[in-house]
Amino acid sequence: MTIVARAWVSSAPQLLKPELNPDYAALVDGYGKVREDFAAKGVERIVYWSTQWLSVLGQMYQAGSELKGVHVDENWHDLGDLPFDFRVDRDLAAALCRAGEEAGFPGQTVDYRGFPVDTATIIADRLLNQERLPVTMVACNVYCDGAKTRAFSEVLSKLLMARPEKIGVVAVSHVTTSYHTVAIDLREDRIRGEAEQQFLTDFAGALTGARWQDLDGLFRDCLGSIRNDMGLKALEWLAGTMPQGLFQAPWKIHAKGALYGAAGMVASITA
Amino acid sequence: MAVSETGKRSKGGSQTKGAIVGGFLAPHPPHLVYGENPPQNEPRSRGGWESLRWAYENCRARIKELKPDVILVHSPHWQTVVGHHVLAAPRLAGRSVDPIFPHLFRYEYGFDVDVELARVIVEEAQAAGLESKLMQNPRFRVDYGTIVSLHMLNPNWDIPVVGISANNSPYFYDDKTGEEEMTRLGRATARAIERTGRRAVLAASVTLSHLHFSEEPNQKLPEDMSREHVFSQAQYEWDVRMINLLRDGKVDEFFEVMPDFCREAFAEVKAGSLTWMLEAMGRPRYPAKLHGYGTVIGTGNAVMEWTPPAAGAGTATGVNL
Repeated sequence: MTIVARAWVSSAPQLLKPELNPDYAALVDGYGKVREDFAAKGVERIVYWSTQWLSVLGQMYQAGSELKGVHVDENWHDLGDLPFDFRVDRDLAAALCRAGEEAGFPGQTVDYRGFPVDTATIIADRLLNQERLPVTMVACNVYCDGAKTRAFSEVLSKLLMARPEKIGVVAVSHVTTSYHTVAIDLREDRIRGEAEQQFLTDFAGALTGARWQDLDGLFRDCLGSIRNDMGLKALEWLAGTMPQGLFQAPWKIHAKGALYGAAGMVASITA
Repeated sequence: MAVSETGKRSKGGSQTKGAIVGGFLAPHPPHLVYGENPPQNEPRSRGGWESLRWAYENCRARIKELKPDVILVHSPHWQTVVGHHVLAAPRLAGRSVDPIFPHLFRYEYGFDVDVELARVIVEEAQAAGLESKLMQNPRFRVDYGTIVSLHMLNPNWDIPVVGISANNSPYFYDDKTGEEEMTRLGRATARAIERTGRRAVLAASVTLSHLHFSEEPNQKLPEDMSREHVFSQAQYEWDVRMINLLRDGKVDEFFEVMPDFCREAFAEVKAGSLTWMLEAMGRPRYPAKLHGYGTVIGTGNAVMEWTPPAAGAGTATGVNL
């Protein structure tokens, strides 16, 4: 079929405690809206790209034949265990890998028992994929800048557009990453930094207002001075999945909020 | 031998004062375990990276001579945002798969943790004004940096361990903040070792220069040593300069140039592991022993040892045996 739905989600263990903070609750509710959007569009496969799964030697694609277990977060190990059990579409992962290779993006599929799945993807899938749809995951290559990330995404999207399944593409990324560096009461969690708060407001405003031209100036003026998630390459990744590689319709931002000082966002993107 | 809250008692009953009996720069490329083919690691190799593996053989022999109660390892691959975390579950076991080199490293590990020492480290760190926390979840997956360094130092896993996370302050804030944090953590660690009466070996699980090839030179044979070389001459010269400073005992000068080293050679010591260890050892101004140097996928790795002058085999400074 084609790519029928796209979303940006931020994900962290704090989302498992929505009762503690209205921002967490709002973000979790935002996932519900994305879930409804995916259901309405008949999504049959989900492809995750996460800034918390980093590749260094080329590209990586999750093709685990037995991708289940219990994960414990490296930072928030006291928030409990994260059991996971993914249904991985291994054929899709292999096809993506081949498409990347043919276009000059060398990579590998990973199918290893015990391979570490990142916390953000596990939690995003738990909140988004309650039907246990088959998935695959694409790593965020640390050496691909924004332009290369977009080019890579365009290559994979060309293949996804030609697939028989209805596909939902999800970028898992924070917006800003000024975490609190001391222990806080989660009930008191707020986005850290006035500049970060302003950036989130301006960033979200540009997306919901379809003012794409404002993003260049915003990035030029702000990205060097605020802590952000991987240069906000998630935007380039999602742009690469759009027809002609361009956003056109306004984004629907379902929620924004703090995730231990970082700024999170949950949004649906319409082609 | 009874162990008290504040110190280990000798066979004669007198209070012992713990001491650091050795420190090792113990880099963690998974290739070293892969090249050795131990039974715990699933992938098989034809060998490779022998110069570094032979260097580690010397360390294994030294650790046997030193007879430590515990090995403490500080690893940059357990990076924490909020403070310094310390492994404190009595037993940790599982399967460690390297996310970057899963085809080389899939290792079944299991070790005992010195929980009492871990608790006292956290106490001392907090008393020093640091954010610090115990990791008590028994299902926690230990990072591959910790596992590789420990395997290379003690493949029998018969010595209890304390694992310490690398707080990301050098990256989140700046070099100076990071150095201050690691200095205080190192000193807190030393006080905890002294209080608990342990004979301790420390391990800084870091590579020196860290720029590397972005593709494996020979994907069909990762252990093809004909394709292994340093990433750049500049990086090599930086490594040699830093190693020589340590071999000459010029640790103050080492710390002075470390920010430049980190910036120009992308050195992994930025993560703070070596600073933690050397500060715990009181900034040793005696020569470090170089056991070996070698590259792994272009990065520069040195295996080095610091033994306090009075800490020979079976004895240690301040230990009442």
